[in-house]
Amino acid sequence: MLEICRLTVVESLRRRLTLALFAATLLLVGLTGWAFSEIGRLSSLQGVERLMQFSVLLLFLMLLFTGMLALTAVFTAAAAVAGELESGVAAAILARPLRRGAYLFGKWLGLAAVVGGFALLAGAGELLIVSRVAAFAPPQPVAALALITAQALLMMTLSLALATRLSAVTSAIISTVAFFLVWMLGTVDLMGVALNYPTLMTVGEIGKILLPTNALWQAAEYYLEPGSLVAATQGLGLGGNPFLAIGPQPPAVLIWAGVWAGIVLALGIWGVVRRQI
Amino acid sequence: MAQSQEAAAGGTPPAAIRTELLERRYGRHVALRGLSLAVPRGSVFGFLGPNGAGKTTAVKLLLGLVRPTGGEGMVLGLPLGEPAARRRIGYLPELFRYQEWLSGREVLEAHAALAGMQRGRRRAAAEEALATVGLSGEGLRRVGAYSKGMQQRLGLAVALLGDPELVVLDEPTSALDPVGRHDVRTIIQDLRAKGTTVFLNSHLLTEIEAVCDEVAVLDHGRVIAQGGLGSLLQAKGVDVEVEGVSQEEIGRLGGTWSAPRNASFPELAEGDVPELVARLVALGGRIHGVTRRRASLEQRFLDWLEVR
Repeated sequence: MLEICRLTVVESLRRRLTLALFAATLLLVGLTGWAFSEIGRLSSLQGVERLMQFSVLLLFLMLLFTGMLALTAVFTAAAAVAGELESGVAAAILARPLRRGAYLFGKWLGLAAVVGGFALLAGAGELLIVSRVAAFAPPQPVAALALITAQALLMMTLSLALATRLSAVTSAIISTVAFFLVWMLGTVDLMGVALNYPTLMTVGEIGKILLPTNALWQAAEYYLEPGSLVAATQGLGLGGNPFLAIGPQPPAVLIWAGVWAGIVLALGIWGVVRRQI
Repeated sequence: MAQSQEAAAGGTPPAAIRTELLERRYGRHVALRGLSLAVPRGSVFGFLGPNGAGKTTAVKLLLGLVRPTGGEGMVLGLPLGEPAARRRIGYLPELFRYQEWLSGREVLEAHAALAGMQRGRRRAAAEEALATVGLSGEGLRRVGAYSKGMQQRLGLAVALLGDPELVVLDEPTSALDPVGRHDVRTIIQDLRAKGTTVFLNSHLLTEIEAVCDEVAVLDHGRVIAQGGLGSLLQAKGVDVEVEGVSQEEIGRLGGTWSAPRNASFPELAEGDVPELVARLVALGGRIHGVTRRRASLEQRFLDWLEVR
């Protein structure tokens, strides 16, 4: 299993995936720093309004970042698994005394190191450059980064599981569509909260159960907002704003995300065990 | 079919491979039906058949890459698909593909690790396997830069890594030139000399004929002939190079002159050869040679396929 993990990481290095991700990190951090620097210079807002401005901008950038992470995760995982199974490389590997579950879990570990490493490095770079350029620091950056990384790992797990039975392109596309669909359901949920419309909220809850990525994002969002901003907006009826989380996600959401990942990984293992190589 | 039962029954070591009515269906399509095989340890076993006969399916079943839908089998005394058996098996797939972003030596070291070889032995084992297949000096090049023939040689090196007890070669010379094919024959003969069992899956009859002790012929997922190569290729009749015997006397013994000094006895059974030689000598004949007739594998193969 550890050898498969090592090979997966080596593959990402040799295929220059890690180099591309590192370049993307530099680009992201540079653009974020530039955006905050310019807005800080041009804006005349002060106090809570300035805080609100930076908070919304950071959340918007981080939301785009999570989308980018999701795409990176699904395409990397799909290519790594389906590519190997379809090309015949896996036939030689699985003829060794290696259980298929260990093979897939080794792949998962290697991909988690690459995708998680990118999420943590680029995310930390973004938050650091923002705090340096705009003197705006989220209250709980570590928790927020952990949740954003977890979101990327969920997407990676989904794509990896699908790729045990489907082609790389199909797995990646299904995962991507699922991600954005759940994002849309999350927005529907927020609208339900804003309009106090239970049906919309139920639809949103179903989305959270099917794929808890957006729920993780909403949890991360809360940890990225300054506490004073949350306190100042309490009671103002601002619920339903996609760039303002007025409370933390319940622990059950985080627990379910972990359980969901375990179930999907187990399904992936079942998929590769049943597969005729 | 357990190992102990076999040993008790014959007092001989269990077969390297034994299958009973092994079957693989894909929906309505039957890829392999009722495969019953016994591959003796230390033998070179040829598994031949036309394209689509089910040979590769059978190989994948033996290695646990595909699950049987019927029947059962043992490889090296363990049930099909058992990881412990795969530790002692080397495999060259028909579609040989290795990580093109690794060097040849790295591929071998990775397989050595996956086979459970100790870290300290992996480098030496990889170098040894590269040397065996004629890739010494190429180990540091990326596999992506290898020619197809070199990649097949690398696949052979992967199969030979760590001296496995059973080597399964699926069309091992499909990408090789005549020199490469000769090298593979030499490698197989060396394996036999070491006591390694070789399961050679091929539709190249000359390849099978040159190295195999036993063969099984598969067609439409079914074994249509099986046995020692010598007995399968054996044909009735002998040719005798003889002088000092008249044409009439040859005729009375059931023979004809096929060329000067060459008499043919097309209906003579193998057991009657000593009697024939004795009678020719008694008639004053001077015998320069006796050749038992032997069919070519190609001819036999075509006969078997017509019979099905």
